[in-house]
Amino acid sequence: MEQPLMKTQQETNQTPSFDRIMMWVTTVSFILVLLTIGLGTLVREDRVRSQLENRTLAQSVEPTVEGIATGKDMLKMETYFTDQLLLRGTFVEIQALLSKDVFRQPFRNGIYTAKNDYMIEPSASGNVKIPQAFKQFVGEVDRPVYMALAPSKTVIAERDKLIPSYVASNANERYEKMVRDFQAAGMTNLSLQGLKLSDYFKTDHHWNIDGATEAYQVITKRMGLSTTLPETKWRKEDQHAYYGSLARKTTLSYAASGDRLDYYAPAFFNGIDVCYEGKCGRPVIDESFVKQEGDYVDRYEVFLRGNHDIMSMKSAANRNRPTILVLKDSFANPVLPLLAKSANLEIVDIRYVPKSFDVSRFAKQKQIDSVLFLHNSNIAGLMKTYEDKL
Amino acid sequence: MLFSSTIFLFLFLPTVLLVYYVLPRTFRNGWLLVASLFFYAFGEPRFALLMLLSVTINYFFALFVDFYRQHVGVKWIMFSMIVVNLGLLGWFKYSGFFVRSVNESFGLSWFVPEVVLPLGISFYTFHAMSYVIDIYKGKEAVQKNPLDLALYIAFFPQLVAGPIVRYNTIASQIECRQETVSDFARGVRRFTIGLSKKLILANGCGQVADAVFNMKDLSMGLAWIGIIAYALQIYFDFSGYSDMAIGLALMFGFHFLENFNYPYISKSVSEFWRRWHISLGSWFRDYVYIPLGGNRVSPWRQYRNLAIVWMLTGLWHGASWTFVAWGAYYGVWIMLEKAFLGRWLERMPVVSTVWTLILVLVGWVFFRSETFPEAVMYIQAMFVPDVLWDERASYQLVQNGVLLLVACIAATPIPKYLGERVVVSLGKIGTTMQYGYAMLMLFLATSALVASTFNPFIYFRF
Repeated sequence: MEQPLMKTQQETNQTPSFDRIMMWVTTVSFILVLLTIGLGTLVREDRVRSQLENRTLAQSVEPTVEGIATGKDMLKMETYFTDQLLLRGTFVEIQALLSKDVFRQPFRNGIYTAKNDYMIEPSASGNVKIPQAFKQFVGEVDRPVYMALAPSKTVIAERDKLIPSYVASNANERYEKMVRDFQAAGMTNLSLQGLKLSDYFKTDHHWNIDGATEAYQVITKRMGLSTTLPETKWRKEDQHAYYGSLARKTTLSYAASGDRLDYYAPAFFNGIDVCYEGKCGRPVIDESFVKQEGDYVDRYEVFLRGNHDIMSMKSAANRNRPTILVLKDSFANPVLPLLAKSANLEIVDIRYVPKSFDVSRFAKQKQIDSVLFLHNSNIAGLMKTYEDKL
Repeated sequence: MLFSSTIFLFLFLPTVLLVYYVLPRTFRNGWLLVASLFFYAFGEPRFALLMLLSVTINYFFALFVDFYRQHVGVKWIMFSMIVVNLGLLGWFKYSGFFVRSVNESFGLSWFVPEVVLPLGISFYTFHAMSYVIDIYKGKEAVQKNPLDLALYIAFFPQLVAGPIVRYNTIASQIECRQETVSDFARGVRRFTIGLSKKLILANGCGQVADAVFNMKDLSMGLAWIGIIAYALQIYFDFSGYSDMAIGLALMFGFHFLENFNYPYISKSVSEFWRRWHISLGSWFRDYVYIPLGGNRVSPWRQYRNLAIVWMLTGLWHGASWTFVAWGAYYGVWIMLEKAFLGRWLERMPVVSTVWTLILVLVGWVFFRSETFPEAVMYIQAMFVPDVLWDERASYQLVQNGVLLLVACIAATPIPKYLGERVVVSLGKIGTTMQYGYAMLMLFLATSALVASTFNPFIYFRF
């Protein structure tokens, strides 16, 4: 069945001159496209970091004899060239469009885009095992310990029947079990079940200022703290579209529109002294993050400039308020400024403190009155860290 | 280097093309050889020496065969040539497999050599052997210029994944060929179609197949989705690579033979193998089956010949008993078709197509599985499942249903037929669309290539 390459019927029927013009156009445009992208990549100044991918890009390789002989330098060169490729971001977006609009794929890089444009991370199917260390910690610290476990977007979307079962994998069932297990470890549950999907960003896994404010009210009420809700005049809206971590994974093609990131004006938090990395007077709200241009600016860092290993937030005017030890992840960041209006906070981000860090000792040292764990329910990956450090 | 890499596409290929067309004709073969050696050495430089050794050995074997053609000792030269070539291939590809098999069979603990498989060794060994055999049979004149022979064996479009181009196919083209804009433009179209087959369809289907084959306790639906995805992956991967090779060769004025001809519409296993990897099938037919006697011997010997050819075909694909079983599986079906099944199938065209497709899919299970128990469990899930359908199957269908459907249609002659009808009926607009389509495919394939390295770092996921 071997056949020589045959000219197509069309090639033999067309007027020769037009066909020939098209052949020249194809030939020239093919070489031009390849050369433009190739030379453009070589000539252009190398980029150090990709905002889209939120990572450092590969840099040029100094070849060595050994590297060439083993082929390792060639592979590095390949990575470097692909990372620095001209129009890289555009190509990534085109491919995402193909996946979304031609192949109709609702998932991209593991993120499911629901019909209401909310991006949802599929839930892991196994139960989260709560380490014995939590129970031990509750005993050692000898203070009331609270757990505010925000349901993930997956849990809420499943509850509202917005996602197919293979995305959720019984997320609610596992969430409720986790809450029960924390209670069994001696912690008081501060239920955040009243949160709605609209309390979360569409394109990010975090809650928005509404979700954070709702959580603040629940926490202060249940912990017996005063609640200071900001008036409407303090609320500010970032004029830029906010594309969060999930849009970064799917690319903009999957995001029907960006989110709007609201926050409370810095002046509302006057008098709160924020200290971390050995320095006080840090901003509670850093508006530089909402002023930056770019689709993938991490605007969520407007709150406290993101995550820090150990931080304190105290009111200079009222040092006699209760002191709460907050053990948290990035979910807590928009809540902490509000919470600092009601109590003095000693904050530990368990992910960033060294392995030798002892939370119980820290709590005693800071003479705390109570402990608050403030997390999102996707904390399976944190359990080992807590087991080591509690 | 791979065709589906950015360095090849945006640096290597345009550079090689530009220099090739700027150089006077006398230097073009030399330039192609230099480019081909760089292509091969990129990533695995040490194995370029092995390939050059193979070229050198076979260059001298051919000279000796030609010189001693009338001498009785020529058969010994041929025998030595086969031993040396298969010895090299055997050491690099099969030594570990052989020792492991002996150890397992006889409870021994011989040292198992950890030999790295040089890229494309199966292809260039077959190229080289076919060259010497063709000289022996007097089909072509011996190549006196070692550089031209090296170009035949190392020519980068067909070096690492075929097709297996016979020396007599391109011997005259190496000496003298006419590059034309018509060939170049057709080459561009063919190359971009191959590139998009590989990067969009094969890689997309591959993700589905990999996911399913890594799962346990498959439902029937999931098992069928997985094997259909794998069948499409391997077809578009391999035929896409052949398209790219044929297209690239055309850009330099070479005309390769076709390697695939819509194998999944075959009405029998024998027909499938006349449409799948045609250059390998015809290689084994001409250099193994026919020399063993082919069809001109007694029926028993014909079946023996078929058995040998299909065991070797399986083994050629990989050093594992699952590959041998895969080859033997096809051998058995081809024997049955030769005996009686073929005549039955001829009477029922639709049934025979479905039947052949199912046989081929079952064959791919052996090809894809690492071990026999895995293959058996997979086939069990396909035909005697514990569960008919599950959520994982729903997920794959929702996520990849359209992709698989597009790939299924693209594996038939329908798109080509419709495309040609559209082009003919629309005249100049059709022609413009045809070439525009090639450029669109280039962009989409490049997008898929770049997106495959898209690696967003999402900080701690909380």
